[in-house]
Amino acid sequence: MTRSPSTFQSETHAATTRRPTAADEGRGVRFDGVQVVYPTSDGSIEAIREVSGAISDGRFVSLIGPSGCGKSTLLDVVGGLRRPAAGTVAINGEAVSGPRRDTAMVFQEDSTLHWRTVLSNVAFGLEIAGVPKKERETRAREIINLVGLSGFEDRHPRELSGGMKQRVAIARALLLDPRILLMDEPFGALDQQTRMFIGRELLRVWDETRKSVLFVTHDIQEAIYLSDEVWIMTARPAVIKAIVPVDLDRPRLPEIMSSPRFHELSTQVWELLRVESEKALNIRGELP
Amino acid sequence: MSTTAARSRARAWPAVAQVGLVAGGAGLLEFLTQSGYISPMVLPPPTEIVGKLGEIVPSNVFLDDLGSTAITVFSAFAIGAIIGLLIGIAFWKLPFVGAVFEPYLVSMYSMPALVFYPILLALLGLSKAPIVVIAASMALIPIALNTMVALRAIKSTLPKLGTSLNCTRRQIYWKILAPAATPLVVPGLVLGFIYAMIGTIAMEFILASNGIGFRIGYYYRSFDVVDMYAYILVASIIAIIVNVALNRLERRIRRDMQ
Amino acid sequence: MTVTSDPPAETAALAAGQLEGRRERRWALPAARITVPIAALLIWFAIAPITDLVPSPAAALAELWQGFADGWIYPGLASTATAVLAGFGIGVLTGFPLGYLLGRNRIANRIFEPLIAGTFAVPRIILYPVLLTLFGVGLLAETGMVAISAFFPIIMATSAAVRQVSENLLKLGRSLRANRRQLATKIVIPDAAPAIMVGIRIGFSISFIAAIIAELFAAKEGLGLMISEAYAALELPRMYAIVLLVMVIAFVGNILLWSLERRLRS
Ligand SMILES: Nc1ncnc2c1ncn2[C@@H]1O[C@H](COP(=O)(O)OP(=O)(O)OP(=O)(O)O)[C@@H](O)[C@H]1O
Ligand SMILES: [Mg+2]
Repeated sequence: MTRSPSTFQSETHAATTRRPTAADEGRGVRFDGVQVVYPTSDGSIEAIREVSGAISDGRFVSLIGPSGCGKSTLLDVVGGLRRPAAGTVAINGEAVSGPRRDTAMVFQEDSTLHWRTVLSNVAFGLEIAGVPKKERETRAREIINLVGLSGFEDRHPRELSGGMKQRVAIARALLLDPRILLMDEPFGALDQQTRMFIGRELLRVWDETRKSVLFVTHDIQEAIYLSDEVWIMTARPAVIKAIVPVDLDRPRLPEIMSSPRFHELSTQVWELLRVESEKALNIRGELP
Repeated sequence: MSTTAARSRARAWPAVAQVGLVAGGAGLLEFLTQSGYISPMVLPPPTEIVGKLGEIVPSNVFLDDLGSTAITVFSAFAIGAIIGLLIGIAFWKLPFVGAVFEPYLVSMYSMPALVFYPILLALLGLSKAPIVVIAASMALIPIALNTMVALRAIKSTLPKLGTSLNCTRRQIYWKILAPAATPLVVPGLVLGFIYAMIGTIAMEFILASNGIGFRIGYYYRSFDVVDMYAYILVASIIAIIVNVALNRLERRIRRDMQ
Repeated sequence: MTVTSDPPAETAALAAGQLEGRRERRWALPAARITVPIAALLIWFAIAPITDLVPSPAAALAELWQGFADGWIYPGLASTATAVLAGFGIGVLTGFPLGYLLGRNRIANRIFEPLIAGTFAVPRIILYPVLLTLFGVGLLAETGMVAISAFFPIIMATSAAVRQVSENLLKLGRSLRANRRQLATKIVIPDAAPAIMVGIRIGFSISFIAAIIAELFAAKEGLGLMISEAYAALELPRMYAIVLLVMVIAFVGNILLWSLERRLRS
């Protein structure tokens, strides 16, 4: 059960997912013919050919696609860090022209400030925004607790594991309380158990706050477990190959992963993805 | 065709700006000196200095100075290189000795080894010998440190590979370890040569009886401002050429070896 | 690992130094290290009686003690210290901001970096006569010499350090809408601090060396001048005493900056 991006708002899927209401009209993220080209010393690389579609307010969307297809690039565009060569991204109807207060990003690579403690790393976003020290630290402690890092407030990143550093970055983004959360493989460095744990926590926070989330992952199970929709990207130059709506009940418990429907969805995503992964590998003629 | 031309033009703009800046600076100084804003006792017009340069370069005094400085630099470098390489190899073969002496060697980087010059003058007399000793001691530090680091950085699988191929010890040293270390040793040698040159000219400047550095100080003391500037200019040009040439050489060797 | 100018060569040496941590007998290494200066002193003791050109360490130390007790060392010491501190200060105050600009601005970098790097091998001391003709013999010319010498390693190290700031952290800063000042003070400078400190430490050492060399050539006062006067008068114990003092000051200054750098690195 796949749809092309242009028919995104059609009402074909199950009623369990949240329906957009009239008040939501124009809210959320809207992609309009986005193309991204990287200039290089010898010519240019077309990373994204054409992405159109929408994440309506409060939806959890996962982005999945072969390595190097342009997922991080797309996130950068939404985050206002990179201008598309053509097309626009609009948030709540306004074209994105730079980083915005209502978006927050979790980067794929380690982005902790190694000279700061966990506490001051998590509070860093609020510090830049000019929130007084006392207030931002009180709020930071709550979030640190939420991501399971309490007790580590005064440690430095070098004393943390890769997964813990990534949780610091997640906490920093959550603390900004953005309307739109852009997460680039935030659980990439986590072991399976922590991944499940943090995923469940993230779902819990999301259930309470209903932020719009654009979530990049390579993990099909994780994408289905977390999302309302899974967007599948083709190999570079990327387009959205398909959108798979996830019609599973919420709130979801991890047990849902053993349900037959979950299985069907996984197979469906895997089939769509396999072709692209093979294409991506063939292009480079090597294994990742 | 046109795109490659455009691209090389795009690459050339910093060079154009650099030439423009240097020429503009020289032009400004020329104007300021010619119009009397800067006294010729402080700075003679650049054209006059360059004219003097044309006279100096073919003169015997200059060629003698150049020869003397060059001999000193090369002897200091040769001595520094041999001792530096030996120290580097020794520190690598005997890690404990290396660990004991390393901090001293590193801090010699920042030690005014040059203050030993008067002592060496007292010991060895006013000859080339004290200069060679100082310049060699400056040259050997980067050479020794880089050699040690280069050898330590070689993966232990390489000598094992040699043994598995039934290489003799000599073959392991010359055919495996030496080439593997070269990309890191060469920068040390380049740096060592530059330090030998800096040390030589600086020591000549303080106290010597000939050499390019000496001549600069000599003309300062005899109030011969034009010659002084001409010598400063020629010394700088030589140093810049040596620096650029050595860096090119280093890059080529590193590229070929890696 | 690139080793093309002095700061990287030092980092290479530092990296190599990290091997020490793994060594077993923890006391053996410090003990062996301490014996090195002791051995040097013993050699000095052994050589002294053989030649008139080397006074005994005792004589040199006694002379140094006299210098402080009688006070003849203070004017020179103060003069050199003034030139070093003032010149080094100027070197930092100019080299650091310009280095920052050079590292952060692509155009400035493309134009000026090769010009500055190209003069790496030019002994700065040959500019001293220019300063002397400009300012006359004295503290001003010497301070200028120190400033020029300190300027280059600091600007080069700062520029390189600032350019190597991780792309990720810059992205984070931009995405949090940090302004220019916040980007500089909260991301770029803290991330680059250890590498900048290497340049500052080298700049300090070079400041000291430059002051002494300048004074050996021409000065009104200073330790370098005292060394060359002692040499001319063949007052060898005094010459050795001052050389010793210079070594100690350089060593202590270097150690202090080094520990600061280590603290920044951790
Ligand atoms: N700064 C850049 N300059 C030039 N090309 C780039 C740049 N950044 C990314 N690319 C290219 O754009 C393409 C998309 O990169 P991107 O990082 O968005 O991929 P991705 O989907 O996030 O991959 P991964 O799953 O491995 O993280 C890649 O082929 C990459 O080579
Ligand atoms: Mg990515």
